[in-house]
Amino acid sequence: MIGIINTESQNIGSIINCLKYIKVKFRLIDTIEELKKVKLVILPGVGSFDFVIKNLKKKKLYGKKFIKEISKKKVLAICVGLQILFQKSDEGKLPGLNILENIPVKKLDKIGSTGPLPHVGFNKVDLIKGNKKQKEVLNNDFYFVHSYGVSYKQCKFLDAYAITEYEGCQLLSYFKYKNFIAVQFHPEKSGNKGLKFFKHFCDEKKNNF
Amino acid sequence: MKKRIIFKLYYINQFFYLSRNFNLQKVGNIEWLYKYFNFKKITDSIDELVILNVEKEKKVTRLSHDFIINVKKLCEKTFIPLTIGGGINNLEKIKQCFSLGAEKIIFNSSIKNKNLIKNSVKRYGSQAIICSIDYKKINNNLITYLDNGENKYLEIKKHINLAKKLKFGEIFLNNIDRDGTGFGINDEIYKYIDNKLPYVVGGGAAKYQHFVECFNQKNVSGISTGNLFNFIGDGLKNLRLNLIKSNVNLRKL
Repeated sequence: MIGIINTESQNIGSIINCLKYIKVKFRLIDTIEELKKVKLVILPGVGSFDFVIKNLKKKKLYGKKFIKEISKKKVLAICVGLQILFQKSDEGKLPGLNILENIPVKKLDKIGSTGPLPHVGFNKVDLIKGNKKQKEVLNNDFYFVHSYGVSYKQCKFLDAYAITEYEGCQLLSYFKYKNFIAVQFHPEKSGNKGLKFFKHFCDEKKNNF
Repeated sequence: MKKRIIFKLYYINQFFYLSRNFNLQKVGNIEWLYKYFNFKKITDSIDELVILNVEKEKKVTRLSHDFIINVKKLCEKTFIPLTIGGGINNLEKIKQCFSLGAEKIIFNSSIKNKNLIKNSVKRYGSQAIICSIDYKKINNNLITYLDNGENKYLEIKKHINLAKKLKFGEIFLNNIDRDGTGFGINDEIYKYIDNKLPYVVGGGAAKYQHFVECFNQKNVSGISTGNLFNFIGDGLKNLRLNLIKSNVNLRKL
């Protein structure tokens, strides 16, 4: 059973369609009590940083209790879901979950991009640090839509990470840190490679991201 | 960024259609599409899917119930970015499209409603708002048409500039003369394409050679095609593999 944290994000419907397609059971998580009942968690996000944080606060899925509980789970954070794991973002006024302390999320042109924003479309993911299995699942083309991100340069301490090049900027497109797996791209919109990614995350035995 | 192959499908009252010279040919309902056209295979071989709702009741303020049901069914098996268009003339419909799972909305005749476009861009961002431009060659000029090719609008350059001014995030250029003919893309269109935003060209692409020539043009971000009959069986997949072999920067399957 996978828990999807109900951040009210637009992409939840597409994530549910993927899980149904690969025949994985899921439930939406609106409270800490519901969170306690699952082992695997998806933290979806799209749109704005503050929108996601506000919705988490409303459901009391925020603060020390929440961090303690979610740290026991295997978590997959998607897009803005990845961004809120950091300290703060150029995009919003509210603080993030600060699981990755002191690293800010920046507008892509502040970390070297000279291209139009948002960065939208299929782009290549390159695993820099990680194992063979991670490489097999991640070294593919995935679908991106975002204007904010994290420079990989501050993130070399992570357990595993991948980067994606966009017009002069090298952004962090995947990482594993403790129990957190996070992706800046949208596996739910990335065709068969995206489905493969979900299958891999949802399989508790094979999951060694 | 990867270049894109975009597939276009029309919808009227429970059935999907292909377009030929702006006349629609019925293909089948959604079950038929999956059973006899192996539509899953098609969506596996393209980068984006566009569904255009061309039902005549343009005055209705919400999407029709059966359109919603059909898009939902499509989304259950389609895991690539989806664009919805056709008769999108108010914010309520736009909101409905996004909650159905659309990544982008495509506008054609609604370009005349400047407030609607401005509000959509403000709310959902330029990247989600596409301008579709239909054009014909008239006395050596490229002239654009609204209302499904019925009403003359502007000279193409002016239409593109208007789209930029309204902050559309992407422009689709469809040639009415070659639509669904398989005669290849009209190369007169390339001189209107710049690097300011992504351009998708369509109308006439049916063979490998058409795609290679077009993708080799500077600033072409994608090609749209709507003719399933050109790509029966493994047609689309093979097209893609061959294009990748020729160094076209497409997403690997």
